[in-house]
Amino acid sequence: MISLLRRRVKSINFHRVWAVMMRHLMSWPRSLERLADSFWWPTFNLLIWGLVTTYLQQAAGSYQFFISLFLGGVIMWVFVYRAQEEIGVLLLQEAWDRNLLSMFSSPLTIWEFTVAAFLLSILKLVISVLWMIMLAYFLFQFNLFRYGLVLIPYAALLLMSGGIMGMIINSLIIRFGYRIQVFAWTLILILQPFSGVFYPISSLPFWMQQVAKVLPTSYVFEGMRTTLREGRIDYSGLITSAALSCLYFVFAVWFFAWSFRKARESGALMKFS
Amino acid sequence: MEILTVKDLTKKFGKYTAVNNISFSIKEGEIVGLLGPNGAGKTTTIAMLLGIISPSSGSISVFGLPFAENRETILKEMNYSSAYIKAPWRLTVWEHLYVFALMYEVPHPKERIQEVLRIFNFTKQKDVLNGDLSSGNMARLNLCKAFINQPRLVLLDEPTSSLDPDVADQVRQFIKLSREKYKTTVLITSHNMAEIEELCDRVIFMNHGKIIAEDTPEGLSRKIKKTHVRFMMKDGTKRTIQFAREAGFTVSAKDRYVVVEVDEEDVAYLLAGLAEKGVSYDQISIDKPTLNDFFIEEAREKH
Repeated sequence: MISLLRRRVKSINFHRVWAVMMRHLMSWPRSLERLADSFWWPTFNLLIWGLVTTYLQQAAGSYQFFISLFLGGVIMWVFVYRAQEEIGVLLLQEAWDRNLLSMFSSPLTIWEFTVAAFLLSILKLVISVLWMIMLAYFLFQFNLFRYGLVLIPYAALLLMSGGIMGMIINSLIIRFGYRIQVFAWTLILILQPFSGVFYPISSLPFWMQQVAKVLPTSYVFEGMRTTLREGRIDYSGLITSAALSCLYFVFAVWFFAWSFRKARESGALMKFS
Repeated sequence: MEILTVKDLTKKFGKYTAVNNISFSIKEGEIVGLLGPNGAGKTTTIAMLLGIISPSSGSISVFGLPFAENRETILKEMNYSSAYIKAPWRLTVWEHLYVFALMYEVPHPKERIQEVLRIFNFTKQKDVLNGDLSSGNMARLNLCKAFINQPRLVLLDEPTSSLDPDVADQVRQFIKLSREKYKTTVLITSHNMAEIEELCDRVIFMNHGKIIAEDTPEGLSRKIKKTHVRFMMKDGTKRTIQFAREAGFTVSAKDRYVVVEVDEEDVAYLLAGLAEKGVSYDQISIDKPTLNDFFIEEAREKH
């Protein structure tokens, strides 16, 4: 057995091993996907779990809300994440299938495509969320509907935030092509640590609290905690979140139209064929 | 009636001019070839005609309407196929065509899909996943898509490049039939010169972003003055080469074959001269210039 192993090792040509390593080392810094695997995901996990742990240490003694807070946070974050991902990946799917040119050389407009993506994301989201609500109820006796009717505007605002991010990411993909496709499933997560999905904004460092102030998602998750803890609805947070969402929506629509116009000028769409 | 009118069309990418001030028009029912070497500006021109790339200047009118202001109306009656596009690999042939039938608002889409599948002899594959299609069948699917809406104007970018000769011939016959039956106007690019000669009423030849010639395929071939005289030698190969060189003709020889390039009016002089030298040959062919010769000469000379 050892002699067989020795023979195998001896038969390895390290020039060829080096060639394979070189091939990947050369492309590694040029691939956002690989860089995200190396740096983004470890950073994201460290940040989220570090902030959660810090919050748990500060909030010792009020554990009764934790299951509701965490499970509620996980389910409601799905509204943001899935809405964004569905819109972003829908465009990429057409590009990966090399179908984008056929689509956009038909009478289909970019706005029709976007509306279809939005509707599709809502449809798939409803299925995902219903499944998660059912699982959370049967496995952990957690009932998301304990938040009451306020859940509807909260869900709508989170969906809108996901949609806005989806449009911004699509704008970047249309403009810069495949090299930034990893944004379709990573960029949204930049918002998560600042949104206070699993912990209150007040437990964040000061600079992160300032960023949280301009994110519509942070007001929704804060509002959910208020409803759970105090049984009341934070209307001012709801209105601020809606106003910020409208503002970003207008920007996203403008940015999307601008990016598409620029892509047509630069011929970027042809690169998807 | 003019179906397509392009006027002073230019496309610049930064400092690089891909299409340089071109103008042409195509009449209803015409089949026009857009030829040129790689990088000539053909694909950019087609992309502008489809609204995928916006022109830097100039105008495009289709069916008498300005393209920029009437994109959806125009594209409903146009279609496009390219050897370089594929189809979603998780959809079946029928599902893919159905999606496009809806996009083009085809009346009675199911019946039309059936008809198109029958025309392209593709009915048996209707439930096959696109991902399982051979490249030839993928090209056939693209053509089915290109004719799904009975377009008045269809742009075909190398439509037969990955088809076997039999299917490629069927496609050419369909294109001709479509013109005869529905007066479909076709703008086609191809690197198969025989196909262009067979199909096209007219050829637009582009190089370095400009239109450098526009004529019938025969007209373009006639612009080449050189004729190839090909001999299968019996005796006198060396004498043939020597005579041709002394007369200032270009000559090449391989195995028993000698090819002499001469102007058409010098053919008689060449043959008389070889007879005088006592040269004998088993076979002789005199090949008139073709579109292929024109293509090669233009692509090389203007480079």
